[in-house]
Amino acid sequence: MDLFPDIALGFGVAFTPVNLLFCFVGALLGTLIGVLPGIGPLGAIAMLLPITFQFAPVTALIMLAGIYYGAQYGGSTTSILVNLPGETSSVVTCLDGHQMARNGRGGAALAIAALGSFFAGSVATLLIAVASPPLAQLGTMFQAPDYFSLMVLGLVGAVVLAHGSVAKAVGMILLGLLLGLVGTDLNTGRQRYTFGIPELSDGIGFVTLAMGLFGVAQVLVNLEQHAMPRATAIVGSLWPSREELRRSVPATLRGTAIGSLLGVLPGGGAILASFAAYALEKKVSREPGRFGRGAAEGVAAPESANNAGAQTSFIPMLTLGIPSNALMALLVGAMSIFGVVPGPRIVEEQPQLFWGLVASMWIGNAMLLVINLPLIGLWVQLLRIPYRLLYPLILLLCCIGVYALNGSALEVGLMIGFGLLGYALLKLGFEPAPMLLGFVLGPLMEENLRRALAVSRGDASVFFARPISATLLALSLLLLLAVLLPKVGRIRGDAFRE
Amino acid sequence: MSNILFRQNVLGGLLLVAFGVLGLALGASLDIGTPRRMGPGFFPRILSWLLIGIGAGISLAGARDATAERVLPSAWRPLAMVTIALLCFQLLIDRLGLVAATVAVVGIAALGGRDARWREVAALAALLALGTALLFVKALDLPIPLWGR
Repeated sequence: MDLFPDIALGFGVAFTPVNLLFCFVGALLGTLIGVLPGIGPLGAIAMLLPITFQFAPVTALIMLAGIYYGAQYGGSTTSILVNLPGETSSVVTCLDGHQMARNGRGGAALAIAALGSFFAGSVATLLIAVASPPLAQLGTMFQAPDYFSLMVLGLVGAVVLAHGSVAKAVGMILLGLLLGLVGTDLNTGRQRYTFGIPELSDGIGFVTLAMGLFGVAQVLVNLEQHAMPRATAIVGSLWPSREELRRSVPATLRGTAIGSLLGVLPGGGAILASFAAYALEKKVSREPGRFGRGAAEGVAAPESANNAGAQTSFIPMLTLGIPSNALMALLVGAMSIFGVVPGPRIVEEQPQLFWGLVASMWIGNAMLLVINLPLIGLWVQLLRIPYRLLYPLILLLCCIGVYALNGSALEVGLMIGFGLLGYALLKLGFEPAPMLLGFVLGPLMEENLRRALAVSRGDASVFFARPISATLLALSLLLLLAVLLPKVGRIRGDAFRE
Repeated sequence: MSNILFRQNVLGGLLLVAFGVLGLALGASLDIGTPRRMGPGFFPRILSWLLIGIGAGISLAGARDATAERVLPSAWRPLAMVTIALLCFQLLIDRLGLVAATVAVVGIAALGGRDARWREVAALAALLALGTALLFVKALDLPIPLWGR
């Protein structure tokens, strides 16, 4: 395996002025989104997608990826300074990060979070570079039954690892799969569920769905809730003390390891990684009582884990074409707009795109360090923007994005529909993220099921006869059984309750 | 009875059942085919039945849980105003263009909030109309009419 020329190629692509600029813009916008409460990375990427429509695919992807990991950094800033997680993956950072800020160590907590994230991001980027080509090789051996089973595993993983009710997550995935089938049936050309609307014959626009579910619905829910909590920001010195560093370094290493691992798993990603890393730190600590009172390792571990997980979840998406979580599903959808199909052949056929993206991730992480620490005062100022000025902007960006997709006002109407659906689902205690995953996988799953059964002449045992497929299905079954066991179910509940 | 119906999981489960039934009803004309030659109706039917099954399960479990709270929107105003604002964008964008649609969205959406201040809303609308026109139409050259077609 010879990595060097590939990585050099990647840096060659990533260091062109245009790509550097948009890597920076992405990281900056991501940080902005992460800092502002009430907009998650899902909504943000969907909303900002239209900005990239006219770009080259690699530039667009670099920017979208930048938004994603930038949001991880930004989210930690608000968690620490105002006890308000900008997005879900930094919820646990609040516990100790904000306590540190109250003890006058806010600056140190920010520095630990940023440095830990940078370290984790660098390791994870390297991991992508090392692990992707062999995994893509493996991917070329996959046939239709294997792909189908892999998607089953991915969806089961998403259910097991989502928080909240398992049955409700299954319901969301099924609904997503069904919505994914709307449009022209690829095999027969029959229209399915299109009601004769021409806009629907290509299927429900994936941007339309995402903006409705994560943009509009979130605004509706936020407007209903009462005033958002605010707390005074205490920054203090940016330099961690020797004692804090001593505690943070091993925690960062453990967080990076656990985050990298969980990011690759189907259904994993940044959110799970940060929860798991915090739980692990508490377990291995000799003084667990310090957690929740401003322990530096309680900041270092989840922050490095969520960044590592955010990066490594690119691996299955890029090499197998199977998104492991809703955010990756969103990126798959974005790629399809640019005519890029992620899958085993992408590494070989589009090395510029693949390695350029990988290299840009490392550059982006380095940029984030600069964006975050010295500019911390600016981000704190941004927190003062009231929501009443933000939500009209969010709504407007959703409208423009959906309309710009193909100049059809009807798409805006569809988005309203999905916004209301998303609002109803949120009110009814459903988590809409798995729905997006199902939506992207729906047509793929049907196609692979059809092919698998056509080759085997309708014999379903083909899924158990092929070793890859059988292994994947066995794993799915184990995962499902595990979560049904009361003991494991309780642990899962505890992990998310932290 | 209506007390049970509006419990979170009962209503949520029924919503899934409704989607499943809709999937079956609207897809009734789609050919099922055979497993060997899956028709366009094969996979949708499987999914619809699974949806009905899981939705019914959630509903029944929810009906037995007497501690669950009822769900209803706690405020209708944001819901109504945001919906109207977005509908206005849909109606205005082709006829009057981006600037008018922006002003409509910002102005009407502001009615959905609790603490709108009129001068602020006017300033925000003007700023966003200018900003979006410059960014999306001039700089990014997206096919959006500025003043209608």
